[in-house]
Amino acid sequence: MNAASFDPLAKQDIGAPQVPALDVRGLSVDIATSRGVLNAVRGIDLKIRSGETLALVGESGCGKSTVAKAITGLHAVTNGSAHICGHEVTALSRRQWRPLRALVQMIFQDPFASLNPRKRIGSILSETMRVNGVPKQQAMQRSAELLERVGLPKTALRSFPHEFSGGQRQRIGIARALALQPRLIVCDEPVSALDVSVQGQIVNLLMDLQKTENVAYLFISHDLSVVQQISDQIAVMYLGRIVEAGSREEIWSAPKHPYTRALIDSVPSLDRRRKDLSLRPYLAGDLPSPYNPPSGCAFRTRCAKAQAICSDIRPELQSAGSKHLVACHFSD
Amino acid sequence: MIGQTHWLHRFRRRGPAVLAAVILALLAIIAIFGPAVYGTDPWSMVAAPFLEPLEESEYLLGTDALGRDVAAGLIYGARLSLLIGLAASCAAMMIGVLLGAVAGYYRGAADDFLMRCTETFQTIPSFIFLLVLVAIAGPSTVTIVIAIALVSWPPIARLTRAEFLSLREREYVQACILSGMGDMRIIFLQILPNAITPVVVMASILVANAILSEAALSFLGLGDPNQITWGTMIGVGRESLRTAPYLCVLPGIAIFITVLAINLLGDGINDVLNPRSSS
Repeated sequence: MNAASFDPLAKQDIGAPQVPALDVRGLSVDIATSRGVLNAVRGIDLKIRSGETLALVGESGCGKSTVAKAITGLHAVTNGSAHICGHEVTALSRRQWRPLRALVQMIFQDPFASLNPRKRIGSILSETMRVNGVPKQQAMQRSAELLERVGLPKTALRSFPHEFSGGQRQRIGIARALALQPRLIVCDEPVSALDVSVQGQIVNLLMDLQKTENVAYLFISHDLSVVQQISDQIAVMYLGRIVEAGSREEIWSAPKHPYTRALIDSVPSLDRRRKDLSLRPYLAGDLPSPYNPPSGCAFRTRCAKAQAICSDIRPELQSAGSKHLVACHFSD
Repeated sequence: MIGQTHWLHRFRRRGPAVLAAVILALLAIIAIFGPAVYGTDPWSMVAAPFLEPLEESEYLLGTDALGRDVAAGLIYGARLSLLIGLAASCAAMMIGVLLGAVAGYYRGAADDFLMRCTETFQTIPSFIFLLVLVAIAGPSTVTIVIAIALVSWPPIARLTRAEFLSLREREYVQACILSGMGDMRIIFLQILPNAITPVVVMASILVANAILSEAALSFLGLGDPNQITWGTMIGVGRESLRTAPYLCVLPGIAIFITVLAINLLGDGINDVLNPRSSS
């Protein structure tokens, strides 16, 4: 890829390498719905270093996607701040966002809804660049390069989205996200709609691209087996709050929060012995209504270790070893 | 998608729609070339009054109370009736799509305001409203087209809004926002091409309604006095309904066939473009 010929970030200060790609502090998002105000995200902190991957993990409805939308400006933020490469982005208007658009892009969950069915691949890819002032000729040329980059033939430029499989469409979505050479890509469940065999290919592609493009990922997923492959850091979310965060190795090998432990134990594995399955904590029941979360620790209604204190006092995130945070009264 | 048959092929399997398309094509040819080919002026008194159809070979469809050629009237009338139908429904579609798209895309206050306006228009009985508009503006082809458009856009606006409400949540629209694309570009170049199909189907049926409205106006004497339409002919023929019923019946049949054909074609287009909605 010829970076010299095209650099939408040339005007933008992307900061020194030590400036985090994403720095979120105390982010809260309230959503007004017909059933009342939903506190979808309740004061979370996230930090992603340049070129690294943070996986945000949790069940459906825990607020992961809302975090993605808040960071990318698709949803208004109620409180807190988010800096992308040092630029504060939470209170920007559409116009103020424009020069920063190239910094952060997104890969979507549903490869069938993320490409306009009436547009050719060439125009889907090039219009992203055209909007940001790249001349037509150059945009088309770079679109072809991007397709090759994600493993699709140049001839795909003239095709429509319906001519491709889910995995191929997701590659096109990745190419679109790369078009502006972003420093951060928010991947909102990028593989959960794909076949398992295709999931691996897409995850590998994302990891390869991270090395060559030096892009940071906020990787949102409910699937820990995928997260384990791609992430450097893992943050586990439950009902709008982060309950445990740390390096991949720490979280995977020594989970401290009962919820994280239950999630990891639910990952099918060949080498783990099955006989003690009944001894492990498991996730009972459904996610409580996010409109009316339980008092104290939100997880207590499904937790095997819950005691009286859990309903009275909400556990704060506390250090549990170096670079490992957990919010539980009985973390082990 | 795999296994999707070509739209022409699917269309061909629907007999009534194909018949309707053929009829409309013939009508269009008559409307475009008929006046030049047929020659006889529909306003001039060319023969004895009240010649019955087939009575004289030169005036196959007879003559009216003033000895004017009915066939010439029908041919000239086809041109204006179709023109008014098309123009009015195009205008209604433009108003409806614009307002519906803005309401559905922006939601919130813009949506509330535009939808209350739309509902206000819908609560007024449309034909009475049409009569008032034409009576105020004066009958001419242009005012009639505008008046018909003004009473027929609300359903288009509501349909477009519904489509936009659902399409604007699609991820490709979010991708466009993320690339920094402007709202107008997103609305008209990204969402509208995906939303327009059911709107076109509805607009095609609006053409039939517009022709009927125009005929009703002309029948009441509120048509453009300088133009001959099928409605005008029925209105004039009404006075001699007992002695020469064909003066009303012939243009009536022309309206009936045209409106029926447009409706059948609209259904056919709907079946072809929305395969899921066909039973």
